Amino acid sequence: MSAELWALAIAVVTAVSCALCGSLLVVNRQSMVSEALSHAVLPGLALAFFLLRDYNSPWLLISAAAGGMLMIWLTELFRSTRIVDSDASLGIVFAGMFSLGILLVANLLRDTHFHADCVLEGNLVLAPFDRLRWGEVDLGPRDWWLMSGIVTLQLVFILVSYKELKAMLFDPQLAGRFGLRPKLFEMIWLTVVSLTTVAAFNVAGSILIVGLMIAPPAAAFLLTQRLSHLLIVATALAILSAMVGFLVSIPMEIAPTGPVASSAGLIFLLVYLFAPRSGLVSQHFQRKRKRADTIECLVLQLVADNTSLDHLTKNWNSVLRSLIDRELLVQANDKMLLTSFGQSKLDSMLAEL
Amino acid sequence: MQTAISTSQLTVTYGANTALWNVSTEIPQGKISAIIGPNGAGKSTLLKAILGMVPTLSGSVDLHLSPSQAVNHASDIGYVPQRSSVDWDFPITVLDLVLMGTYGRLRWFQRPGKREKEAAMECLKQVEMEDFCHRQIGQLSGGQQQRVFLARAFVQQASVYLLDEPFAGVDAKTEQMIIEILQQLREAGNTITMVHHDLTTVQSYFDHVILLNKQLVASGPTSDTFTQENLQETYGIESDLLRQSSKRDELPGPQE
Amino acid sequence: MIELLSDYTVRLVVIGSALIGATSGGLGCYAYLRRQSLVGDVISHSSLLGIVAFFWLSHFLTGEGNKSLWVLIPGAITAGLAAMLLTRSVTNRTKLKEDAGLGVMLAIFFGTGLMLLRWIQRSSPPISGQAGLDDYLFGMAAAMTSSDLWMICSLALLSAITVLFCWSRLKILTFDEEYAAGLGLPTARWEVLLLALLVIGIVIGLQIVGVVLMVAMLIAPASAARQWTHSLGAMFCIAAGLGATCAASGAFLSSVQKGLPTGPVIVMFLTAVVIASVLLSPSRGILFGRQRLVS
Repeated sequence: MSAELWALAIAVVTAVSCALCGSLLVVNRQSMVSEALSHAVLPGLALAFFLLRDYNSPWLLISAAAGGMLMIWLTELFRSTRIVDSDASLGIVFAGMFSLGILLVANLLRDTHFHADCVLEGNLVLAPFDRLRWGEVDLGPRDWWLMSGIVTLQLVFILVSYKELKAMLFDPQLAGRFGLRPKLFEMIWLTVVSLTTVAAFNVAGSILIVGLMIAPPAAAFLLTQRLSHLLIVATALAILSAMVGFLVSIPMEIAPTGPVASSAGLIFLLVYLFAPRSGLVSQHFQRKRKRADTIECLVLQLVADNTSLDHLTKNWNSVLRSLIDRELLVQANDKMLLTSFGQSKLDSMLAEL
Repeated sequence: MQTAISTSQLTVTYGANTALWNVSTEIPQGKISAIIGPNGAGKSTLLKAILGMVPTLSGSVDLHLSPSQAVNHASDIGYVPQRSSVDWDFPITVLDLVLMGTYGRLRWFQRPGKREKEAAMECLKQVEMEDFCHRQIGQLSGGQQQRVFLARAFVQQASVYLLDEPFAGVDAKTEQMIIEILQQLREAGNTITMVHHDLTTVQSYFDHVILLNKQLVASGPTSDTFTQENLQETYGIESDLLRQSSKRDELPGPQE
Repeated sequence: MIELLSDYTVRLVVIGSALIGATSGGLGCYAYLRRQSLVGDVISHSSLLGIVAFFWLSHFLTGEGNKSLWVLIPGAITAGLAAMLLTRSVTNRTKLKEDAGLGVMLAIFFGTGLMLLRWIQRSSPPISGQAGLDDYLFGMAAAMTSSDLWMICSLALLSAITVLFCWSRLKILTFDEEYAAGLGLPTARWEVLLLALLVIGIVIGLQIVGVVLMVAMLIAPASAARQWTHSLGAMFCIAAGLGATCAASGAFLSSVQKGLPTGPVIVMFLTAVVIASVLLSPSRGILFGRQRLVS
C-alpha cells in the first residue's frame, strides 16, 4: 500500500478516535479539556524525547500523559482556591505549559525533526514511514496500529458505560457529572482522553486534535437526539473532514492538517446554518412564525377583552384582516367578536403560557 | 389613589417564550407595593420592562412623575437589581459602589467629585454602613451587601424605587432595618415597588400587591387582593402556607 | 547588556514590547473581570486567518507581500471580530456552550488560516515578503520595524486616552451592566467600546507573542495584579506594569538569542509572575494571605 494511502488511513482512524472522544466531551460539557490537554502534553512529550532520543519509546506516551494529568490537577488547584477565575486559570496554565514545551523543542531539539511547527500541525506526511516491526515482518505504520488501538479502547469504554452516558445526554441536570459513579468514571475517562491526545499528537498536532475533537461532535450534537446517533454522525463527519481535507492538501502540496481542520469547521458551519429544526435558517423561520402567532393571539385577546387596539406597537390592521379572512374574528355591526375557532386558538395559547 | 407607574397590555417575549402577557396594571404613588408570583412568572421582567431595559412586543409603560420630579435627572427611578447578578470579587470598595449611583447625573467623561462623595457617605450613614466605606465589597455579608445596594439607589435621589428580591439571603435584623428605611421613604412621599418572595410578610410590609403569573392575576390594596383565592390562582396549588398567609384577614372564601 | 541596549533594533524592540505589554496587560483587566479569557482565545487564534488573508491581498493588489502591521492588524481585527460574533451566535442560538465554540472557531479560522499560510509558503513562483509570516504563530519581536512601532504607539495611545476619559462608564459597565441600564445609560454603545478595547488588547501583541499564546499576555498580568490590590485603578496600573516588564524582558531575551520564538519566553515570565502573586500576595496569597473571601 502506498505511502499516501497509508497516510489517508492514519488520518481517518485518527479522526475517528478524536470524534469519539470529543462526542463524550461535548455531551459532558467538557470540550475545554481537549483544548487544554492538547497544549499541556507538549512539555512531557518534548522532555521525554530529549532524554531518550527514541521516537518509539512508550515513555513518550507516559510522560506526555503525565503532563496532561498535571495540567488537570493544576487547574483544579487554581479553581478550588477561587483566587483566580477558572477560565483565566485554564488559559494561563496551559499557555505556560505549552510555552515550556515550545522552548524545550526550540532549544533542545533543534537538530531533530521534531520542531515547533510539528507541534501545531503534526507529522502526518512522514507517519507512514515509521513502521512497526515484529522481528522481520513489517506490519504497517506504527501510528496506524497506535490509533486503531486507541479507537478500540474507546469503543470498549463506551460500550461498558453506555447506560450512564445515555442518562447524561437526556438529563441536562446530570450533564457535567457522570451520574452514578462520578469520580471513578471521570478519572478513567480523562485518562483515555489524555492517551488519545498524546497518541494523536504526532499525527495531527495540537490544532487539529482540538478541531476534530470539537467540530464534528458539535455538528452531530445539533443534528441528533440520541447518544448512538451522535457517535455515529460525529464519526462520519470526522471521516468526511479527513478525506476532504486530505484530498484538498494534495494539489496544494501542503500538510493536510490545515485543510482537515478547515473542512471540519466548514462542515460544522453548514450544519449550523442548514440543519433541519436546529439550524439557523430553520430557526429563523420558526421564530418568525411564533412571533406572528403571538401577535395574532394578542389581538384576539384584546378583542375578547373589548379593549382598544391602540396600544399595540405592531401594525394591527393587516393582522386583523388576516384573522377575519381566516374566520377567527368576525365583524358584527360595529364590534369585533371572536369566533369559536378564534376562541380555541386563544385558549390553547393561554394554556401553554 | 394617585398612580406613579401604569402599564397597558404589556407583552414581552424572549425568543420562543412569553415572559409577560397582556399585563395592564397601576402602581400607586406614595405606597410600598409587592410583585408576587411563582418562579418564571415574569416579575423581574416586569421591573425591567418598566425601566425600558427589555424590548416589548406590544403595550406601553407610563411614568406619572410630577413635574418637579421629572425635571431633575436622567435617573428618575432607583433600581436595585438582584444581588446575584454581580461579581462580588470585583476590585472596588463600598464607597466606589455607592458612587456609581451618581453616574446617571454625570457626563460620560466626568468622575465623581467631592459633592458626590459626600452624598454617597450620607446614604451609607442612612443604611449604617459608613464604617465600611473602604472595604472591598466581597468582604461583606449578604445583609451588608444588600444595604450597600440600597445606598447606591438612594444616592440617585429618585422618587420611585424598584427593587428585585431585596430580602433574598438577608438576615432578619437587616431585613427589619431595610423595611424601616423604606417606610421612612414612603412617609416622605416616595413610591417603592419590589419583587418579593416571602408570603408570610406580605401583609405587614405592603400596602399594595400585584399578583403575577405571566398574566396579571390581580392587583390592588393588600387587604382586598391578598386572598387565598387569588393566591391559588397565581400559584396554581393549594398549600398551608397560602392559607396561613391570607388567613389573618377573615374574608369569606368560596363555599366549599 | 548595556552594549546590546545601545543597538538601535534592540532598543526599538524593547520599547515596542513594553508598550504592547502595558496596553495588553491593562486592557486585559477588563477581559479578566468580565470573564472573557475564552473569547480572547477565540479572537486571538482566529486572527491568523485575517493576517494571512490581508497579507495575500496586499500581494494580490501590489505584487509584493506587505507584512507591515498597518496591513496585518486590520486583517487580524476583521477575522477576530468575525470569529467572536460567530461564537456568540452559536452560543446563543444552540445548546452548545462557549468552549465548544472555541474549538469550532479554531477549526474554521485557524485551520483555514494555517492552510492559506502553508500554501503561500509553498507557492511557486515564490511570493515576496512571505518569509517570517509564520512568526505570527509564536511571535518574533526581532521582526518589529519602526513603521510597526508607530502602529503600536498609536494603538497604545488610543487605548490610554479612551480608558482615561471613559473610566467611570467602563467601570460601571464592567461591574454591573444591569444597574447601568437601569440608570438609563446607553449600554449597547459602551459594550461596543469594551469589545473594541478587547480586540485592540489582543491584536496589538500578535507580532511579538503570536496568535497561539496571546491570550496569556492579555489575562496573566490582570490575574497577577488582582492579587495585590482592591482598587480597580491600582489593578490597572499594576497589570500594565507587569505586562510591560514581562513583554520587554521576553522580547529582549529572544532577540539576543537567535531562533528563540518570543511568545513562549514572555509567557514563561508571565506564568512565573502569576504563580508568585498567587503564592505571595499579602492579602490573598496562599502562603501569607490574611483575608479570605466571604463565600
